[in-house]
Amino acid sequence: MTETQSIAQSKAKSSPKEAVKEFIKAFWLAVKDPAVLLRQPARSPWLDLATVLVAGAVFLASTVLLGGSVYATLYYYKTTFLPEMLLGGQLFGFIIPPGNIAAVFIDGLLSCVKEWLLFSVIIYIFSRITRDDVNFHVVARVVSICIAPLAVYSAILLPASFVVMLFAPSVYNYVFLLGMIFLVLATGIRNFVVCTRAGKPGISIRKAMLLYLAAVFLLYLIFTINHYEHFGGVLI
Amino acid sequence: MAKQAKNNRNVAPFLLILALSIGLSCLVSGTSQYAGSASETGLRRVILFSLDSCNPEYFSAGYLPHLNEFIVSRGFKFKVANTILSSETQAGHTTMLTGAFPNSTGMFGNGLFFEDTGVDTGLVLDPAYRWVPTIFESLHVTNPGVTTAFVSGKWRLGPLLAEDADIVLTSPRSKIPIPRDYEALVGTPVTYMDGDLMDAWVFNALLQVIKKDDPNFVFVNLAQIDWVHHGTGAFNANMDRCLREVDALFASFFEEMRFMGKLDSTLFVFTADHGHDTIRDTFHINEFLEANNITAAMHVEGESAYLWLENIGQKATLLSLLNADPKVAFAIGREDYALYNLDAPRNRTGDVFISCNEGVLIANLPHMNPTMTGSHGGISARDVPMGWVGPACGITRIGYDYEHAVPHIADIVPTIYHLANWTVPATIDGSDLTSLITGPAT
Repeated sequence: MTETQSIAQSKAKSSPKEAVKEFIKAFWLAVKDPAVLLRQPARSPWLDLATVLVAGAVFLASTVLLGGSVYATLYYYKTTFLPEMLLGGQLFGFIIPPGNIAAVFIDGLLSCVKEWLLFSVIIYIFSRITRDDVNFHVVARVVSICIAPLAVYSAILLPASFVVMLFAPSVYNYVFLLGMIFLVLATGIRNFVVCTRAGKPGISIRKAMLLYLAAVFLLYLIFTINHYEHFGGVLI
Repeated sequence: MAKQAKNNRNVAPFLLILALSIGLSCLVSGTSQYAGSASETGLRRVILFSLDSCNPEYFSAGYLPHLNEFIVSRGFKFKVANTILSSETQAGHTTMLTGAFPNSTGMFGNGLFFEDTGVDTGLVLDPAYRWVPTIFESLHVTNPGVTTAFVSGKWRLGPLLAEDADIVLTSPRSKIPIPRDYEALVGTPVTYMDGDLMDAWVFNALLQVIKKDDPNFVFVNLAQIDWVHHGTGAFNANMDRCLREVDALFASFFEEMRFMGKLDSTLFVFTADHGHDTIRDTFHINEFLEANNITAAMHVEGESAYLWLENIGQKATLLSLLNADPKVAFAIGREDYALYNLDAPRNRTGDVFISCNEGVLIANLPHMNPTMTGSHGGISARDVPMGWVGPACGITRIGYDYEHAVPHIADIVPTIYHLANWTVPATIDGSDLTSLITGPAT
């Protein structure tokens, strides 16, 4: 019996409590050392989904708890992001009132799932263009591992922002939002490079980074076109 | 074949996840329409929206669909309303918030020129130049219990008009600080272009004001349409996207008001300070005067200008020359100033007023931005939209695109006073529109 088969068998026999324990361990590994996680045998896509949901839930809970302009910014950009508009209830004329926090939270969680899949599809297409023989499951798994640190950084930035709120209430939102952008982007790049090389050791760091940045750039381009007036008002 | 089947199996769970997340998204947003607080009854607040630089045709299903549907399905819409001349931001908002014409407010454009001293104020920010009180000041005197708020995307309106508002939320460039208890709720706004704010910040600030203090009168200026207009002209792909974004903000604002149960207890007024044109030509007034041997001091307001003649005997000649010029819509002397409520002391409005044709910019504006492709100030930008929604005020003529009367933005304040049962101050020139908008539906 190979090592892979024995792990698979032991997982199949584990109780729900142990499964949760295993999931938390895997989640922490995704933040701390994604390469180790990726070398483990393939897991169910539902576990990748759970990783995205947990990371999204912690992030959204942080924005809801901070409230004020952080929550308003999240609500505004989520509801005006073109892919979200095309993949949500807005396409059919449904608008969630910003005060309906529960609905905004659930919808935000579903948005995380949609963005995860969208990001995975973009990277998968780029990988095919660059003739890398990857399957979609691996790409989605790598992206979910990149999303996992969102939860940790939210949990760190939340108390930090509360402290800033005491002294400079008008800028706490920048601390949280800019902190998230820089930390998540930086960790995202690092994780993506590590994961890509772990999955396929032959791939160069440069190529892995290019794939990640190309996907981020594409999403940013969609965002910029959709919010062109925030950048001076003239696009064409 | 086997590999293909394996690949399909790989993708199937993700397709299922995507389908589930889209489906649940629709379900969550669909069902959220029915949640919320119980509706308030009676009239609790008035919100006056000024969509800076909005042309009247934008209040239609093609440009601002959610806003248009809200107005025509619940209230009354005039096909067109008029603003003042010169059709500029500072003077337009002064008339809108005082209910008085320019000859009473003393404001005739964005700036003022005093011929006797040669002083050009540039943008008027000092309320001392204004002759009549705003609704914020008047309400303090006539209705002391009424509370007010001023939420503006345009930085330069606050210093001129918001002095007496109870709550002021606007751009840091105005030097008016965000109230301490609102800092965490609205954050320090990021400013764009001239220091103005994006409408998303303004809408959030408006909601926070309603949730926290719920004042009886709120004035809201949305600056986004104006800066896109100036940057790109009257209508194009940029403006289309801008209008869609503003419309989406209105849609979520209305949903939030409905969710809070405050939609039916609010009187909404939607209008603009002026319209907008795309610049297609320039009128070189200095060259024109030199060519005709006329010496005059001048004050230019985009597509219009005021002239102070050195030799008043040349006025008739100048007027006939100007009125014969194809770039000029009309030119009038002081004797006809009352037609456009410009009959103020000569020191402020000069001897001759010129309004150019649509899209013709008067070219000697010293601070004119050479990259600007849209402008206003003349008679062609005088048309503005106007809509009223207020079920608690008995606005019954629903679904109209009413074209048998053209109201003025000076009529807004007296109508608000009447509908809200507030004591009307004596400084108002505008007419009460109540009988028009609450008349029997036909």
